[in-house]
Amino acid sequence: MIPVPRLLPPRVTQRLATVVLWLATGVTVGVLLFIIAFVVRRGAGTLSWQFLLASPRHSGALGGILPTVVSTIYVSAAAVLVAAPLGVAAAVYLAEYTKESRLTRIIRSGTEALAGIPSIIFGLFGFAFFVTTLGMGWSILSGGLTLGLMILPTVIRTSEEALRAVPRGYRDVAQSLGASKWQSIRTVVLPAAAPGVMTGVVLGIGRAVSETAAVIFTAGVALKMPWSPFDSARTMSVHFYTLTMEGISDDMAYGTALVLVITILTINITAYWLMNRLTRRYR
Amino acid sequence: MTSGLPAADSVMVDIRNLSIRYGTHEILRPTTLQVLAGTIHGIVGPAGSGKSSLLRSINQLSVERDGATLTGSITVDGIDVLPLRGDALAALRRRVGIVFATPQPLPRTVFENVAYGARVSGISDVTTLSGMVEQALRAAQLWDEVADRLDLMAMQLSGGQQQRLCIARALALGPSVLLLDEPCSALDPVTSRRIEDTLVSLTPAMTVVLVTNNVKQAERIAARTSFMLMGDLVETAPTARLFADAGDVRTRDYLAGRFG
Repeated sequence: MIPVPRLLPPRVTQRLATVVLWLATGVTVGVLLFIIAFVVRRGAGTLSWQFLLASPRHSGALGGILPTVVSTIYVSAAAVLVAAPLGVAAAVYLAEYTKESRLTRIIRSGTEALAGIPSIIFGLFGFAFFVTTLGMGWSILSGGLTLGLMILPTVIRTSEEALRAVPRGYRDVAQSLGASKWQSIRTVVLPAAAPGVMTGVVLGIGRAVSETAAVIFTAGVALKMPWSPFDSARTMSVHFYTLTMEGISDDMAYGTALVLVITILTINITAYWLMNRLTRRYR
Repeated sequence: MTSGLPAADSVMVDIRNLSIRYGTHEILRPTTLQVLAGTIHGIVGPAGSGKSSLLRSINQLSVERDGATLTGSITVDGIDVLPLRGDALAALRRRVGIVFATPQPLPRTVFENVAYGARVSGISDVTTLSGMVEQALRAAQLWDEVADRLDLMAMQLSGGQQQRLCIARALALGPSVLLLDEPCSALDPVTSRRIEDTLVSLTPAMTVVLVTNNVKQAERIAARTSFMLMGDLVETAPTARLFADAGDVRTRDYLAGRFG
């Protein structure tokens, strides 16, 4: 047995750390690339303008996926319209209007708990509350509201952190120049926190676009073009799930998955690009 | 004047029996101080003596931002400060500018930094704003350096320029009092001198209250100086007399650098 020295020479430790850290990064990026490559390989054959722009036939075995793309956009947009204003307002309240107290701790742990609830529970809640009790039926509205509540914790937490990262001095300066507290938040604090707030919203959009369980119970599975917020709609994720689970068409399923992955990547890249442009003004 | 107290009409900031508390901790014991109109009033003393809290109380920033409780009274140009809230407080703050220890430009352009106070007070006419901005930058002796790049982000200026920008920003609304909280603590001696020159040039049109860690700075430019120590205002006197012949032994020790 080789005796293990209790303390490796610094040079070796350094080497080792570099390798381990590099490996950790490599594995993370590797998994991502593998998934993307897998979906591309399985779905690329199906992808075409025809596939994107045509309506599905024979339960999706033939034709395209246009209604599911449109449904995904509507449901996610509704979710963001619910979660962004509510989440940012809650974050402003927590970060700017309350002192750290029992109340804020309760609110914050409630938010954390909300973030930990499995999405299928949100789906069941949405079904019981929006679909049945409020009588909204399986609809874009029910789905959007449910997803909105689901991504709310993400938006609140990232926004609160972004607000707390804004230098204290900004508020001193604004208020010392005659701005009211709200004016200082609106004109100085929120703009400075905007990139962080946007990160939260983008993370939320990503979750909303890719969500299946919460949507299937609330927006339904209707495979037609939705025309109003009260129409039932099938998002891309739900479509992929249905095609695979019911053994309708693997090719169509992976084609849908590829469009989904491309959509999410596009949202993320666009958001980070926008954020960079916005923050460059402040550096 | 036989009482040694200044005539009432020449007092700009009149502080009477002011005490400042954070929760139950009294950081300033009842203090009385008159700041004469049109002069520079220095406040010196070691860290933790309550200088900044006293300064930040004159425009009630200590109450709103730091959660302080004030008792006693402060009047600025005859206006009773402590009862002011909302719009009346905002109006006071337009008349009492403040500059902080670290240059704190807002993440905006040079122009928009100086115009900020005017904008939040509802002025949006560009000609009016331009006039105010130029006048303030000239008063802060920064105009010549930034005249052709007013749309530069304020963070890109040097430290000394940033602090003069902060002075200009406080001056833009034409205040009658300017409060400065160790304005040169982050600056080199040469840059500090420029700021001192600027402050001197503002009097006697304006009243300046200068909190400083640098006793030499007070000696150079303040007409009267107060010495504070651990929550007490020990004494106030014309600067030359305070430095040459302070009444209190603690003041003499501190000014001579024999402290602690």
